[in-house]
Amino acid sequence: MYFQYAVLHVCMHMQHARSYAAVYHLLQGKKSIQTLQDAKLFQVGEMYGIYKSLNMQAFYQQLHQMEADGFVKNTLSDMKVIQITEQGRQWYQSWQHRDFIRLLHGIDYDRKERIFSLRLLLLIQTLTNSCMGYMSFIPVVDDEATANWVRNFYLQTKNRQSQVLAQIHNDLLLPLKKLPDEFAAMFVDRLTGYQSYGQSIPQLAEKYGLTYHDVKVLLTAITHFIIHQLHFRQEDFKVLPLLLKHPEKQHTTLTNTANYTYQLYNQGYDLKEIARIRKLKINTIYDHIVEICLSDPTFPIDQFVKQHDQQLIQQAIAQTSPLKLKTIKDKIGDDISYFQIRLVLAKYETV
Amino acid sequence: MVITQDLEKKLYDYFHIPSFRKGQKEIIHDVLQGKDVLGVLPTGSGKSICYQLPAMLLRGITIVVSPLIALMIDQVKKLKANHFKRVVAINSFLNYKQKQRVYQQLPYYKLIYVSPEMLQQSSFIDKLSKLDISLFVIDEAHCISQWGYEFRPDYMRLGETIQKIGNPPVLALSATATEEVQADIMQVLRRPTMVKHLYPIDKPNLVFKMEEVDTQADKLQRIIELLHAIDGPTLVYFSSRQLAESIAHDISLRTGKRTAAYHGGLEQIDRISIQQQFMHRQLDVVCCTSAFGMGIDKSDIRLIIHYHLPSDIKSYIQEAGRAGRDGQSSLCVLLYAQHDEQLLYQLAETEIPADQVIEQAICLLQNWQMQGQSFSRENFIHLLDLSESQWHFMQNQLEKHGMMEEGNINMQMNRENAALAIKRYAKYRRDQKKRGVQEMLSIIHSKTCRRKNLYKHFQSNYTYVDPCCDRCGFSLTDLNLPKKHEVRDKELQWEQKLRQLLLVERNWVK
Ligand SMILES: Nc1ncnc2c1ncn2[C@@H]1O[C@H](COP(=O)(O)OP(=O)(O)OP(=O)(O)O)[C@@H](O)[C@H]1O
Ligand SMILES: [Mg+2]
Ligand SMILES: [Zn+2]
Repeated sequence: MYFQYAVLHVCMHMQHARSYAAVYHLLQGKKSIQTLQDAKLFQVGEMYGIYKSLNMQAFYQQLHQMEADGFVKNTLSDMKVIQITEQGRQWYQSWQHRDFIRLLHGIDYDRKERIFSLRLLLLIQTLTNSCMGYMSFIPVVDDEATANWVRNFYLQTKNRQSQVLAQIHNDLLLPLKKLPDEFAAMFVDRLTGYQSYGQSIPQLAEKYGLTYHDVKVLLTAITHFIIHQLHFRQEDFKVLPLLLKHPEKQHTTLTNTANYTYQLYNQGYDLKEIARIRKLKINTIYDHIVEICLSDPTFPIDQFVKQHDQQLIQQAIAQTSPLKLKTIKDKIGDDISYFQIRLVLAKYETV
Repeated sequence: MVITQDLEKKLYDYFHIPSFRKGQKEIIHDVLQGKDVLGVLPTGSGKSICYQLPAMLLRGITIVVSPLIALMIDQVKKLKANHFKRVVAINSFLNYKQKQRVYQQLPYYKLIYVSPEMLQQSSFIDKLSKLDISLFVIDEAHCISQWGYEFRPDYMRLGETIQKIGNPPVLALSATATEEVQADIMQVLRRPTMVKHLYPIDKPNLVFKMEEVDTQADKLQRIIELLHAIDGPTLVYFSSRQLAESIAHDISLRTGKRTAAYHGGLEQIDRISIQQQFMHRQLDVVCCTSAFGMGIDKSDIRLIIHYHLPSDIKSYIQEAGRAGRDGQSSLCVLLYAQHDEQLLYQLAETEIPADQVIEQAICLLQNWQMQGQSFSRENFIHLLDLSESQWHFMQNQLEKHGMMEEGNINMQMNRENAALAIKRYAKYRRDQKKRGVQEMLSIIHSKTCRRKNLYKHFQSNYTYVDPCCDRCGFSLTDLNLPKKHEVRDKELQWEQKLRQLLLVERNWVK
């Protein structure tokens, strides 16, 4: 019921004001101003992006089930404005495991959570196998950025691996001991070591009598809790804080001023008009657009740079190293502006 | 030039394998001579070595076309795990930056796996044509033929591709190529004089049993009985993800065997985990869809059960071919209940878009182009409500008819005709799938030897073996399989488990 509880928690805060779709976007971590604002406005930032891979069908399926169970209403009508039943409210206030919600820190650790878990999984697998003198293992994580990070870390600690493992052990023990045993056990079951591969989400669900969605939410919650501990009691930890260093570029939220530009842009103003309304230089607005593009990988740039020009720029980028704007521009010529190059860089060159 | 006598030594040096299996040395010998070779060897016989070893010995680069990205990645991982680093898989999963990096280093690699759709990109072909290519390999070459298992339209243009990259020698490999398919392969590759190395693909150590049961519930009952009778790693094949999951649950409850489900709906980490748990004997039974199969190389699978009818004979041979790769006796059981084929007929309908959807797709593209919108894969799939396989079908067809090129919409040509052609092809594919199912059914209903019926399309003769199949009088008691008594570790407390996993216990002892 952890997943249902998370859904209901968001519903409680957004009741009557938003539709169920807003709940979905929040849990899924949609990178839109609307959703980010909802997170602040309704004070549910901790729930932002806690279940990234949740798909819309599954969400509504669960929601209909919650309606059938008598917790919420109105999930099938067109408007779908959130409505909670008395029974739902009572369950929300009395469910015995409701405290788990406090482990979540969605908006703060939105991107860190993924990077941290992937690095931790692969690092433990690499170190344990290497300690056992076995380097031909099949890595559980096949994400390149993670693999590069782990490789570096591995090279730096090559001659003291067993100490590092012992330190990871201590680092993990500290926060895990503060959690209910079942949560800690689930977290440990997910880890892969030497000749011992971690449990899949459905396996964990089966073992702990939970649903797939419960496990997803719980694992995120546990990871958020661990990261939170690392942040606030840094001096107690030796290795794990390093996993949070040198993250891939992070742009979860926009600066306020870029945000305002984004709103105007979404209302249909073009860049020159926005500059006029805001009494800012056009170059500043360009900066905002680049910032928006960095923070939102799905932000379309075709209206600023024609597809064909995007290709030209990409080719020039590919031939340029180190990446200097001037060098790139010299390669392409005068028809293309610095703004356009920066946009293409922002769109395609983020890891 | 490598002297053939040295081949064993090279095999040992690179792969730590002491000797060749049937067919390998012959094929490798001819490949190293620069001949064009067509090799048909049974599943699990070691076809990969037939190009991996030459790749290390030849002067230039070896290109391998392989239909399944998962399979490709798996092979690259294995080679890297064996300290062979100059290998790479290039497919559409790589992002722009990763691709650029790989492209810049192309000449560094000795072995390059590519997905067939990459070979449709002319810029990529240009890059390949500048390389020194010593060998061009088509793995799972039956995909070339319309009559083959898993026909891939992308494979049809391989002949042209090979010419463009400078006509290197060709090696085509398959475990399921009928004579018809072999002819197609040579024709598409434009190599009418390939040297054929054909080996019988029936595996004498596999015993076949096809059982008709009354209800779906009976199937579960039979599975439980079989699992009690036969010890050893087991795969149960399903055509539905949900059933794979729910039966996995039932099996572990009722037999105590460690059972998990594997299907395309799992996240990537979980796919790797389940596969590796199975490889490392952390799991006894995997309930899977056909997503698990090609590429799974576990030597000691003893039992393959089909809960659902396989989609055709070639799929069945491929899936059953996961069993007994170590040469030991293994059992393949197919469970059939009346009307099972209906599910497959339905699947055939959902895998290939209906005529209406095809028309809508073309309208949508037309609109996007008129509004100057660029192509969005997500929106396309979402608006038309396409399944994954329907999307692949549409993507292929749109590209084939020039309506889409490298992700850009390009609708200037006669779209009415194209729509007709796509619909015709969709119907053809649906009919073809139905025929496949009917062939499978006719074997189930036939009163004669299973082995003979299964393999007669692939070879003129088959090895007489005993035990053979249920039609030749086999019963479960004939199968002489060792009973193993594994002592299972008892479940530890999480704190102990964490210590053990992180090898902290071990340090203590030291
Ligand atoms: N000569 C050999 N001796 C021992 N083992 C071998 C030999 N050649 C290959 N193998 C092993 O046999 C296994 C199966 O090889 P491979 O995956 O290449 O089979 P395949 O013919 O491609 O099968 P499939 O048709 O299922 O793709 C591998 O683990 C490989 O290492
Ligand atoms: Mg193979
Ligand atoms: Zn027989």
